[in-house]
Amino acid sequence: MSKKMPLYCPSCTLPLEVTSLECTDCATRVNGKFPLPLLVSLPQEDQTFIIEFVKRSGSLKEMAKHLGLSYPSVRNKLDEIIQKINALETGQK
Amino acid sequence: MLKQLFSDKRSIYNPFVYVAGETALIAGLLIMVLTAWLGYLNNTWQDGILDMHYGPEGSFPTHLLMTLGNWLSAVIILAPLAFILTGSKIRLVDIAGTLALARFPMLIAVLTSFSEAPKVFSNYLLYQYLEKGEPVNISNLQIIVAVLILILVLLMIVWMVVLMYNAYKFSANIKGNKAGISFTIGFLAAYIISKVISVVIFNNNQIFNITLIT
Repeated sequence: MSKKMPLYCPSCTLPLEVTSLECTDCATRVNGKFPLPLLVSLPQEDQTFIIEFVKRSGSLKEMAKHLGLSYPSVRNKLDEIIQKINALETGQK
Repeated sequence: MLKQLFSDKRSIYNPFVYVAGETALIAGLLIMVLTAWLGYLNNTWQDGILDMHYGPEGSFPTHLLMTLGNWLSAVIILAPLAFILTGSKIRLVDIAGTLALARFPMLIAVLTSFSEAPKVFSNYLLYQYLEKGEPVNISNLQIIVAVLILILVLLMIVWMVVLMYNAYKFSANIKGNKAGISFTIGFLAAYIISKVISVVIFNNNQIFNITLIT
């Protein structure tokens, strides 16, 4: 089962931050307060879309072909993600 | 794409999730040519975006010109509106293509005109209530068939308007009240233009080198 990274506090619903990172090889641990990268803050579905979109050199036509959707469907999805990114950026400032 | 189109129930009112652009344009143009040809065969005129009337015999180019005129009047009004109101990078081919495909219900509506029942029923009503024409003998079955066809045609027209609205809204990525209000205004303007085109074609059939056979 793939684990889903929690983005918001289950208690007060505010955004969570990374406080500890560990080397997978030597187990060296770094502690601090690291805000989550913007892309990680997006839902998994949107992250997958962005990765697939970049892999297709940012071609909406190729993306439409890959997803079996029409060009406007893919463009509307991209517009939606842009809106979410703008909202996240505004929230981060 | 086709498998998804036919397996998704939402395709009935918004097939544009799967089909748009050049594919929708080609399919839409073929549908319009076929609709015009059927109209030519059974003397059914699409004299306006929402209209379908029985009329005199006319040539196939007249029917085709009128059918394409209906689609073009929607495109020339709704496309500029979409470009003004959208905040997205939209394409003209998506608006034109989806609006062309949205005319599919008219193909079914024109097919019903091969039945004699609505014509007989209409002549019966004209004679019975307006005392026009000659006495008409009509059976109960013919009345039932005529009413059922009338309901079907009305449903097809409603379906077409829903498809046109979704074509505009989805291709232009305009949402909410902005989509509803702009479509209503654009649709009314397009309807007026389509009626003007129909009248111009009928009145100037000689200029268009089109023969109306009366």
